[in-house]
Amino acid sequence: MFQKHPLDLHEIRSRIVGYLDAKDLKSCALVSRDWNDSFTQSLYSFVMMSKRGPSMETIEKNKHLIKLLKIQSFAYERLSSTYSQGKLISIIMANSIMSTLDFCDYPIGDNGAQALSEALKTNRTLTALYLLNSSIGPSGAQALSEALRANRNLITLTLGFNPIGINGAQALSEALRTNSTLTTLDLYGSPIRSFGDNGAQALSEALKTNRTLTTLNLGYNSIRSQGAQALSEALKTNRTLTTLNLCDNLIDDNGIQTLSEALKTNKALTTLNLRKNKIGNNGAQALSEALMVNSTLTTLELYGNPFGDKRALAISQMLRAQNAI
Amino acid sequence: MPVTLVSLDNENYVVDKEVAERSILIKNMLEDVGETDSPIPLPNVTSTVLKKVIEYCEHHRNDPIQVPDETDDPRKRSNDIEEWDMKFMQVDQEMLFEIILAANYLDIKPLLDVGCKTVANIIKGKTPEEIRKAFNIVNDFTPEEEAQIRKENEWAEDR
Repeated sequence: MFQKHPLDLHEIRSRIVGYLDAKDLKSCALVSRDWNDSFTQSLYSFVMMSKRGPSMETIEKNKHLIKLLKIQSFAYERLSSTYSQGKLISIIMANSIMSTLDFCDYPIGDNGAQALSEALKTNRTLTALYLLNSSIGPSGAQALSEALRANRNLITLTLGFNPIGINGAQALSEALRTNSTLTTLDLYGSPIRSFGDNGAQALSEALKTNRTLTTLNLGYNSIRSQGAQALSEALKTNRTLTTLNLCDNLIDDNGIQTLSEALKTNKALTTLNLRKNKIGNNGAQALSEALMVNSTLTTLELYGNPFGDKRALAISQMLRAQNAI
Repeated sequence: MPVTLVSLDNENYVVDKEVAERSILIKNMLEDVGETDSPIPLPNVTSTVLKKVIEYCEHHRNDPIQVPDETDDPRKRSNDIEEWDMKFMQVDQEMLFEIILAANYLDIKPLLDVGCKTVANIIKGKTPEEIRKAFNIVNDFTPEEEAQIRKENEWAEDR
């Protein structure tokens, strides 16, 4: 017989675990004490809280095992009756190995954002924080910005669909001047409070000095030409941003003309999303001219703009030539 | 050029180099030594197991080298075993585990994967008691412990 049974070897066990689903892991954890040790670990490495999911006591008990925690709006009913947002966050953030925390449509609100911010100031493990549609307003965004100044490990922050407003955008832009770890920031707007040109202007200032951000989503924020102009200025000197999403804004030909000028000197941007703006024929013309000079942009999205087919064809031909290089 | 492999119980097996090199361990050894006639001792593998492993390597001699897939989804499928491999793995449990150990030692990733998938498929859908029976494992929980764990993990269902 075996000197050591293969099922007792960590490398074999971890391979087998990869093929099992939560239900099977649950059964394995009940087999014996030894199996419990390794299979409980796998069972709790990725936890989703929805209508079902572990109780907060169980989360607290297994906090040293959870690497990825996703909390959906469906969990709100059973959690909110016992735990305030602040309390919930402090239990979750006491976790010592979590790398991804994902609140999806869960209204943590400004209080929750404040608690998160406090925890983030000393946290050393979280690299991705998703706070999509989490009812975070200007003061919550301000708190998170405070945290971004001290935090040194967060790489991805998603704040889309939150009414952070101009004040929120301004606070974040302040933080971006000193933060040097965040590479992805998603600020897709909210129908309640978009930050508009003033927010875009503030963020543009940050882009002039920031050297780490590679992806920025500013979609659906009522950005017009003024905001586009500010962003263009930033793009002339910024060398790190590779993806800029400006979809669902109100940028017209004037704004596009300044953006096109910036594209002539920018050498970093590879993806620019301008879907559903107000780009007419003149704007499209300016873009295709810029593409004759620019050789880094590979993806340009223009769907849903009012310019004519001929212009579209010209641009797509330019881009095709670009991608062929 | 053929290569001679020697099992734990001193049986010699002459195989083509490309067959032997399905094992990354052997491939690296051959690269270190260069062209050689001297037999390669495999002191961790018995002849019965080595024969099986060679059979696998012969069948898969022309497979492309597997790129390690560390995809973002940690959960992988185990219901995609090829028919030949499935038949190949229809052995008693001791042999199954011997093959897994040998594949691990010889560093033959695709064989290790098939072995682990086969074990995963044995576990799937079984109750804890059925798993214990399948692998001859003794339940060393106290009834209280067992009840406690059962309660705590009650939430876990298919995701």
